[in-house]
Amino acid sequence: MVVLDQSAPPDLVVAASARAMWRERLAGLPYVMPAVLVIIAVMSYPFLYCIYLSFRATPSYTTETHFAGLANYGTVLNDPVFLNSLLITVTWTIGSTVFDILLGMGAALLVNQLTWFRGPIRAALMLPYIVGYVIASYAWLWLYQAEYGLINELLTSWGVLAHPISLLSSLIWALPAVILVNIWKTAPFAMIMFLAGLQSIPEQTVMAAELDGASKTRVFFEIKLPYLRRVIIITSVVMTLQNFNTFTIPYIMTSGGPLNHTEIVSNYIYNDAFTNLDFGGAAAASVVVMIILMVFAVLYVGSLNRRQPGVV
Amino acid sequence: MAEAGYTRRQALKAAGFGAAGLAAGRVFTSRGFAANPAAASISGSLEAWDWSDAPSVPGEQAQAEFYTKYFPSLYKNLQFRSTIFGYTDLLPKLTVAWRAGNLPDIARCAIQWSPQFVGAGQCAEITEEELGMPFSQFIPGALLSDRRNGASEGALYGIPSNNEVMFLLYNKSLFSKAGIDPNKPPATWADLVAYSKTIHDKTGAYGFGLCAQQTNGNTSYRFMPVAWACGGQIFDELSPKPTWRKVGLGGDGVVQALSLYHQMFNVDKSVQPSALSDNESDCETLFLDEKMAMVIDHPSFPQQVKQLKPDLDMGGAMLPIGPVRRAVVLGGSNFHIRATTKNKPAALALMKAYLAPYWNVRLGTGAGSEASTEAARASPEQATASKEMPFNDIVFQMLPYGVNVPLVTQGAQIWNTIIPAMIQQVLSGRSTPKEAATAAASQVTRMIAA
Repeated sequence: MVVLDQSAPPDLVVAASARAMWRERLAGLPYVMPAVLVIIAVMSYPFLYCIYLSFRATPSYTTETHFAGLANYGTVLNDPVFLNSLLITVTWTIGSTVFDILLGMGAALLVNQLTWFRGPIRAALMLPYIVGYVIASYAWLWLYQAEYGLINELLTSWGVLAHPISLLSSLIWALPAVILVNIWKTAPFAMIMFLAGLQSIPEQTVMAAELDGASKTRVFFEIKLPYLRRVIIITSVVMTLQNFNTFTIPYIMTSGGPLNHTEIVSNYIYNDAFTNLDFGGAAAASVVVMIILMVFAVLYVGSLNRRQPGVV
Repeated sequence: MAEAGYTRRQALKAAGFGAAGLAAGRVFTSRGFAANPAAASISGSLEAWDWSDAPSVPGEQAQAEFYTKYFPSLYKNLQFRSTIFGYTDLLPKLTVAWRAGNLPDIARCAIQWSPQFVGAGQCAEITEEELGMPFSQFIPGALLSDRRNGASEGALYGIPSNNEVMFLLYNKSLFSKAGIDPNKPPATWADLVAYSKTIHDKTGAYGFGLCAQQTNGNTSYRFMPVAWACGGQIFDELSPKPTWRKVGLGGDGVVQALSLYHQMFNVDKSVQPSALSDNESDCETLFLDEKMAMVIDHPSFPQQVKQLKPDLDMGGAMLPIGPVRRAVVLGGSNFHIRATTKNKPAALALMKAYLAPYWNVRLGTGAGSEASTEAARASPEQATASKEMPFNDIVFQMLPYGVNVPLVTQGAQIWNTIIPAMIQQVLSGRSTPKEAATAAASQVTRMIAA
């Protein structure tokens, strides 16, 4: 920290502080530059080519393309299937992320309190995250299977269902069913993030509150939660982006059906490119999705600028 | 060849000059199949892509042996590389690779993928002289997918590697339990619907396996034979020389087929409730478990049933006839050589080796399919293979009823997306058969007009 002569003019004090702040910010740049350069090298060409392709007409009967202006964007934004897929994706993302956060927080609080077998229990709770998406999708396909699946077996034996139903063929239940699979798969990531956050909370602060007679609930909401605010925001952003861009689970389990009720936007883009051979349209849809996610990320990350309690 | 594990006798047999064949006086002439080019004439490099015949173990074994042992042993001067992809993985990879003018030099594509590559000028023309055998060796209908715009005549830009049709497989025990003569499979589609209801009502098992998953080609593979049998069509594929211009999807035949589906799923409820999310895996599982009486399936499935459930009393039949005709999808695969390949002779050599009767039979029937050439189908190898494949005689009987998938560049979209969506509209109760067929027809009309 730079100590300035407080008798100096205020504008000089401000300028010196700003320079110090920038020096501090740029100090870490050499350490991240290698990774940044690799990312730029690997991602820049596909990224820029996708944007280029979004302005080109790509007829299926030829490999030649020609400039099409905003035609692809117009087609995509007027396509009811695309708009439906956006709606499904928003539902999917909100549903998955909210429950990821809630379940992840609950699991983190539970694991944090454990004194025995914390490691094995934490590892067991992480298993869904470690299992590959394809394996998880096929496993849950069998769990949901009407005649042989465990879920139908349990629900019928408990009297919840009169006879087995095919959840993945239901217009009402197909989307919640695949969202559940996604939550199962991704909540452990939230758990690990929150667990790390919980373990970074100063113990003295918590103990002091408890000594002053604060209940566990009050300690959580008024001490721990404010400390976890940044972690919650970062985890929410990461999980929102991750869930929004999911592809595998609906692709394998339902192919987006029945009747596009589980077709999320990544499935739409894939089908548009590789089934409909409309690469320009698929690229335009990708750019639209990128813009949506960028707006979201900017708004969310902006809230990181608020100070945490107790931090100077 | 000895180093590659092939003795001279094995190599001769593999090339089709089997001792038994010679002893029987059946010498394969150049009109039957093409002789392999001399080893010295083939050099350079060649990259081949194919799709896996999994889960058929004999098919996978044959494929691995052909690509890793046999063909490399023929041409030591050739730098040969082959990659086998999953069935659903190859199409997107090939689509991108060939649009970029990139590898492979030769690929084997499912028949419904061919129009997009042939139509976009990405495939090299192949002549009879280059192939070394007359095109009359192949089923005429199978060659349409190798011509631009699915034309009945003209230059070929691919060669069929195998043909495949489906047939009706049924459980004789369930037939008996339902009071139906197990030796009298349904003759018409209306009979099939009635049988399905009877079997479900009397035994509790599902009468028929319905596949109606969205964005899945298997859905159309099972629906279109019903539609064609009722006189419906997507374009004019039922005519002797289809033009692929006039959209026929909204016609009465398609509506009638949709009505049959509606009857089974919504009214009789005699089919499995997971039809809207089933691409055939539930059907096969239920059939194996004897909870489903009738399925339409590939020739490879009864082989699996024989292995997994040998005591299941299976019956096989041709697909039922409709008011207009009997029909089945003419499936299979084509070899295509990339138009910009630098080693067409090597690619042709691969094709010739694959099409030799021994390999054509082994690779075809091993995958639950059929050889693509007449010489192969008439060979002693085929006679031996047919004895081991249940109901292969029925499959051969179905071949003449084969009808082509839409041979337009938008064919995959029509087959995999529009037709399944049309069926789902009806099965979910969102549309009547007429409404769904009309909407699908409008969609196809707009698509091909664009």
